[in-house]
Amino acid sequence: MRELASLQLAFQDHVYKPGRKMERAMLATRRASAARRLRIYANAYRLRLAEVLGNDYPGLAARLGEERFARIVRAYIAAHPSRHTNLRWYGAGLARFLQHSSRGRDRQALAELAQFEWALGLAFDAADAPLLEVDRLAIVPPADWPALRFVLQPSVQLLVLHSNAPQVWRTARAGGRKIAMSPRRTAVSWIVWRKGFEPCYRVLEADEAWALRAVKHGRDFAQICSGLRRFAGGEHAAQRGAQLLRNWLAEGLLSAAALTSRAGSQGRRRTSRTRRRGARAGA
Amino acid sequence: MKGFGLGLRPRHYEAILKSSPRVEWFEALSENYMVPGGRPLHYLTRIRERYPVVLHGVSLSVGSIDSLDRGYLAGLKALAARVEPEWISDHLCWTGVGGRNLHDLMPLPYTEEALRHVARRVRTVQDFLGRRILLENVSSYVAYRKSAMSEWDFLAALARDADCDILLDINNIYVSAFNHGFDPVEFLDGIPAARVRQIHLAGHDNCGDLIIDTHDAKVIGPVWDLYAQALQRFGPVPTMIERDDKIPPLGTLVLELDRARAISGNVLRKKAA
Ligand SMILES: [Fe+2]
Repeated sequence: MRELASLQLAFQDHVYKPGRKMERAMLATRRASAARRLRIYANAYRLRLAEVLGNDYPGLAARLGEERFARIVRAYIAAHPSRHTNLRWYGAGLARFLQHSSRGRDRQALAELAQFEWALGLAFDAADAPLLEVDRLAIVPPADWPALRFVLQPSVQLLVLHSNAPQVWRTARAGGRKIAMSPRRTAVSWIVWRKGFEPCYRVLEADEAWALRAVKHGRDFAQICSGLRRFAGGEHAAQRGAQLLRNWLAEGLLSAAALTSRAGSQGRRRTSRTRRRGARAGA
Repeated sequence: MKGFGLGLRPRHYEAILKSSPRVEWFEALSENYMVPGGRPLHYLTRIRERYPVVLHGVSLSVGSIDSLDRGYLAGLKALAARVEPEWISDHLCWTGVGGRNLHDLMPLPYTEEALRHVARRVRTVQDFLGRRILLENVSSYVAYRKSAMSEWDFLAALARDADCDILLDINNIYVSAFNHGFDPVEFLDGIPAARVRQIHLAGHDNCGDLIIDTHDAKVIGPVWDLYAQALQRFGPVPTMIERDDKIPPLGTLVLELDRARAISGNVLRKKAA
């Protein structure tokens, strides 16, 4: 495989950094030189990746304008040879790249814009999961509520942003007038998820952001309500917990996959074992 | 599976479900559906309920010197279990080495060494997927000095040695013939008829000195003629139009496909007579 290996390695190097060496390995015709022929592969590589990034970051592209976006894309492609089998993931590093490699005072805000737009993309084709329905909760006995644990549906992402990236994204996508990108003194939490087939997002109050993180970390309903006391004061915390839960259900944020409470799951297991025994007895 | 198909493209999802176009099958691009969930898989599932589907990939990199990407193969196998395609195809090419990916269909040198290497890998892939695959001839702009045989001899030998099938892209034959100065009919004549399971038709961009395969335009007259010659040789083969860019409304492609139906009807009638 020595010859095949050296040809592939040299050809790939040529695509990354065109030089004269590979020309000698290729045939030329009167119509087209080896250099001209090889150039097609080198150009196609950059065009293809640029197109992918344009599709993944239309908001960022609109915000930056064609020229500046193209410049950033060229730099990203030069710094990031693809290691992905599927082009779907090639743009994953753009936010990091903007933060660390771009100059300009707006780089933090641009990085957040990219981070936000990538999150919308992740929500778009995140895994499907049946959603938790109100009816399912209605049959949970009151005694089991404190130990209930919820699971966020797979598309849910919680972001902490220090800029107004979501607003900038929205106006850029709508083709509206450029709004200023303003760094904030305090961080703001956002949620991104998919409803039906559409990615959506909204801002989170501090207590809701805390509660969603608590859900994510597997805290039970009692722990969440007690944690909310920090924000709402003692007697309102349980009420606020119930209100948040209603909203999350209505917005389809919770997965039906694994509603667990220690008492509840034991109860279910007991019932099914009894039923099975009953069935055998009847047969 | 018989008849005439189209490449499945997202902009046509709704139109396909609403109008149930007279197309016998669709070809889905495997990688587009190797994602966790959401819209792409939803539509593919619903369209699959109404039409046969074949899977067409671009990432197998069957000619690369890197080891086979087991993760990709597992994903493809899982997708196939879900979609139950009539068959699975990819390209006779390599897409990258050293863990990197050029995301392009890079041509191989047509040597004995490459043939042994690719044949072994095709067999491994087929064993893993539990089925024969189809490999497609790519458009190319370079030819290696080291090549010791023609592309068609290589493809024919590979089909024999690896026991795989062939997806013939008539446009790609035309493009490569122009770019390298060979006779496209000689290509057709070198391909074993029994291995040809599917045909692609597409358009391209003629720059004068070279033809760039863009798959973004209508099929041109000479490619239709070459298609007729292919049918003359291979008999009826499931045929589709493959448009990857500047994608027109579904109805336009259904009409373009009528030309393939007409040509096929003519050729096969004459052949029978
Ligand atoms: Fe093709």
